[in-house]
Amino acid sequence: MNSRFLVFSLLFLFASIAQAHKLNIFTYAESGKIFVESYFTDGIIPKDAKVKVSDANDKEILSGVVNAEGSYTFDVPKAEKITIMVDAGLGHVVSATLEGGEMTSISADPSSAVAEGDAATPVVAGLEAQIRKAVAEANKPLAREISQLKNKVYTSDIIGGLGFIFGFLGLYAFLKARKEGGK
Amino acid sequence: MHISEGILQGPTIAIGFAVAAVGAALTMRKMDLEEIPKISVITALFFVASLIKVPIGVASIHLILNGVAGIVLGKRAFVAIMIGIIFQAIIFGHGGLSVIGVNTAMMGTGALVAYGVWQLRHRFSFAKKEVVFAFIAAAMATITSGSILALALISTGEAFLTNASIIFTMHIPIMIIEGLVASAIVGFLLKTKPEVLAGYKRPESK
Repeated sequence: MNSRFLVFSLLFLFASIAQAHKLNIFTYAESGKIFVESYFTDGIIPKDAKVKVSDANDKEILSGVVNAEGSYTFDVPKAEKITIMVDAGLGHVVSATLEGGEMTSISADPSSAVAEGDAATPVVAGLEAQIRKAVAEANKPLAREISQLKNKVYTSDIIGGLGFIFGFLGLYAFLKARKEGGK
Repeated sequence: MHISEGILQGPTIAIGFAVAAVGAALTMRKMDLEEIPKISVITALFFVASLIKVPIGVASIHLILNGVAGIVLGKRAFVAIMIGIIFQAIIFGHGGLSVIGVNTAMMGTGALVAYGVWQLRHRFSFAKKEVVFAFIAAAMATITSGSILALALISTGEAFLTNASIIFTMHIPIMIIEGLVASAIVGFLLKTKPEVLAGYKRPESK
């Protein structure tokens, strides 16, 4: 194989390494509402993406369309476990599952916190709810960053993948050569 | 152009695996030892191609290069694409393990169509015909894969015609870019190493 051809191929490989066009979902609960945000890895907001919320039995609870910012908001449903699916069309579908605790942990409604906590200390309970809300607020950018990091493509992954491909085919060539040499 | 996991129904996934397995078995027959290095380079190229982002206005698309695979590898492109897709699924999470078959069938068939178109160049004779045919072949590969994508999405309940027209409009810029990249690669290879191109015929000595 011509070395110039190899160099050319390699140059091409590393010309611009960027992320693929993958749809992502980011969900969080706040003040009795669930917020869904969706975006493509390259920062593009899916236009008119359909949102479907279904329960554990795959039964549709509600559905709608994302707004111009790619987000969709709805009240926390009664279901124990819900699955939120965002469909931006042409096979760009992503889903997230939320379970009981994740939907209600950040309830900003003090009355519900009182009901859960000690009835004699409503003030403390109210404070607790406020703290929870503040913590949730502070964690939001962090959670978003984590969801972005999960989808990041690392150079080491790429190099590793290339190594696998050459290694795999090299091994195949080796075995084949041995078999053919043996006859 | 990957179909993600969790969209397609069981039967479509099964058909995808069947087509991929039959395709791989048929196109791998009588493989020569000398072909393997070439296949691995193209597999690697295909593997990273989907990470190369081409901005078009506000949106961006990524290269597929299945047409280039067909032009260089001929029918062996199918296997190269299958290996590339398997590693893309494992390492980058593009598509997913259950849809490897469907994605291979989709992009591999595109590569085979590109090879068919590419071979037609032997019937013509005009200046730079290789570069022209590379463009057409890569564009046809994109159209073929796009049509298979539309077909596969029928099972999700989306109407074929509306889908196909959306996919077609979306893929026009991809077709042009894929075509231009293929032309550039072929133009380069013709000057440096023409025998790596599939179906290469040594020109008759003057």
